[in-house]
Amino acid sequence: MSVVIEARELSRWYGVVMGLNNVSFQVQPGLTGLVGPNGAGKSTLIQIITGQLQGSSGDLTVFGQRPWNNPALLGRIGYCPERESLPRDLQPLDWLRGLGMVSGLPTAAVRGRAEAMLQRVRLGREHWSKRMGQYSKGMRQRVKLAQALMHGPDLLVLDEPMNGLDPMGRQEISQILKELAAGGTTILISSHILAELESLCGNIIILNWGRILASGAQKEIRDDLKNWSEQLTIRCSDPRKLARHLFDAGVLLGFDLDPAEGLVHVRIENPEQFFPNWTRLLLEADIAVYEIRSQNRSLRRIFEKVTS
Amino acid sequence: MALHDTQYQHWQGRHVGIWSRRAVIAGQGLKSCLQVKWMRYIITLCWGGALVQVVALFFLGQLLVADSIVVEWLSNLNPQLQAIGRALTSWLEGHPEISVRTSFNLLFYFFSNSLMTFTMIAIALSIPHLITRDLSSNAIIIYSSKALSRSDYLLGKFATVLGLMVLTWLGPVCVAWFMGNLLSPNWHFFWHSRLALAHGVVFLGGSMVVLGVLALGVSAVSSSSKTTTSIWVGLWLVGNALIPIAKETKPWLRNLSLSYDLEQIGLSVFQLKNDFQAAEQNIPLFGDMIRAIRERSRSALETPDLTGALVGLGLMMAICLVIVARKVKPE
Repeated sequence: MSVVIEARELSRWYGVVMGLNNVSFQVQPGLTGLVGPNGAGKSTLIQIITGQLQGSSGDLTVFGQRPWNNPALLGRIGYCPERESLPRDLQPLDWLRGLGMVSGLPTAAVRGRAEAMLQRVRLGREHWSKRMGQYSKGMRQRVKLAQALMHGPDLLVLDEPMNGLDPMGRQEISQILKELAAGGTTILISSHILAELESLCGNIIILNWGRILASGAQKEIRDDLKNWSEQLTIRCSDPRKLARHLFDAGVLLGFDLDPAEGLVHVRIENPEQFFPNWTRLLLEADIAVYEIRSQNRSLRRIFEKVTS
Repeated sequence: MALHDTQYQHWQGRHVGIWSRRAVIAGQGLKSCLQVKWMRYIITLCWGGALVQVVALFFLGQLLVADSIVVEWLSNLNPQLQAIGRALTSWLEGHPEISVRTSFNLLFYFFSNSLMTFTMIAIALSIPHLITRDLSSNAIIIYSSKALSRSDYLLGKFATVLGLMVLTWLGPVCVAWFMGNLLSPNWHFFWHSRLALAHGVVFLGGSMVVLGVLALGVSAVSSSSKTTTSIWVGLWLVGNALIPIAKETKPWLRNLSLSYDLEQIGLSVFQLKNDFQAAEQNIPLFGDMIRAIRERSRSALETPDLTGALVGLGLMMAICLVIVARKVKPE
């Protein structure tokens, strides 16, 4: 599979502060999530990818070219910044048309394409004649996404695109991004809403303190983690009895009881040894089990584990 | 909802060239400026001024037509004005190449200077629409992520100011020249006034470049429209206030005045010394009036402070270029 973004030993300093520290990774076509706490280096990385910043050392290429001072390459990249970046006194169509023409689209094409993009991000037609200063945060997010799509980029870089969107809006944007990815657009999306990324992105890059702690498919990262403790939540008739039984069997790292809800949260030391014996252990406990939930599949757990 | 929405398509058509993209930035900036009501008033006033100049040139040309309304009207004026009119007429008839060039040159100089005031006001109104608003709305981040470089963006914005000055300054002057000559009784007026037009174009072209760079610099100082507009007005008015102070204290202080420096360049380009001499020698009374101008004022007109003006303007432009370089960057 072709590589869209490739970083090799990339670093970026801000004076004595290190924004990115010797990172190397690859981004393949499809949807990739960029995860990390504030100050992890996500925005720095995004700015380098979109040609806004230059790395201090190392190399980063997008479609095999360096983005810095490379307008031709930037024409293949769509960028939706996190910061508010809409002119308040313009209507969205005027702004999109202008940006389309700035990106090199012929005048005759931009009008229709601007309308198509607003429809694409599902901004209601009744809002098109309003100035963008009157828009809600969610509407502004949609216009920002529309401008990033305006010139038909091959790579879409989105910095916190779900900010300010209500749950329905998030679902709609997620759906749009899935459609774009299915249509061949590579998408790199940064978000602190891990649940959104989890369902959206097959691949993730986890950043912290300017370093990449993990990158690749979620499953691969989870499988690669050593000492990975499985966490289960079990609703049963006697949580205390079940916890004691499992603890005596020597398969638990620890547990938390929630008797009022009939829950026990257990952390399993060695899932590979535990699960083949799981049915036998439950039968031996001799209690009624109503529900079992695994927590280990969540991106949040991966993130917590990797950054811990 | 279908998972794969097929409405979206990558752009497969041709892309327009970089100059068209720069022109888009310039055009959008100009459009944004023209949405300001007062800007439209100022531009109307400038074109009103052009009309006045056309009338003046028409008046000049009609002096050569024996039975024209102008000649008839002149004959009803007091004897002194009649004498000036007759002298001017005979000068135009006797030495058209000198008289037309001189008259046009003087008119163009005064007209260009008058329009400079309106142009300065127009720039004050346009300052927020150049870089300031892109900074305040962070739209500059979006621009810098598109397929154009920082210099393309700045060239577009520079063209916005130039376009505006074409509307308030260069356009009225050039159209007045063309219309004035078109209404003249003799096609030779076009040829004889070519030097005056060249002086006007050189002076206005140079001034437009200087003012354009200064406007971009001031516009990039802050993301607050009020602040940048105030700085521009301050730069202009404080500079004007420095001129009388400089006379009493340090003469070089006047070179910190934008208006003064541009006026000196105008005097150097138009070379009014030759015109005043020609007028003195050929037009009675008018020549006496010129001779009556105090010696100090005459020397200022005849030997303008070009070096000081260039140094002053160069300094201001350098500061503005540094501001633009520091403020308008993706990082």
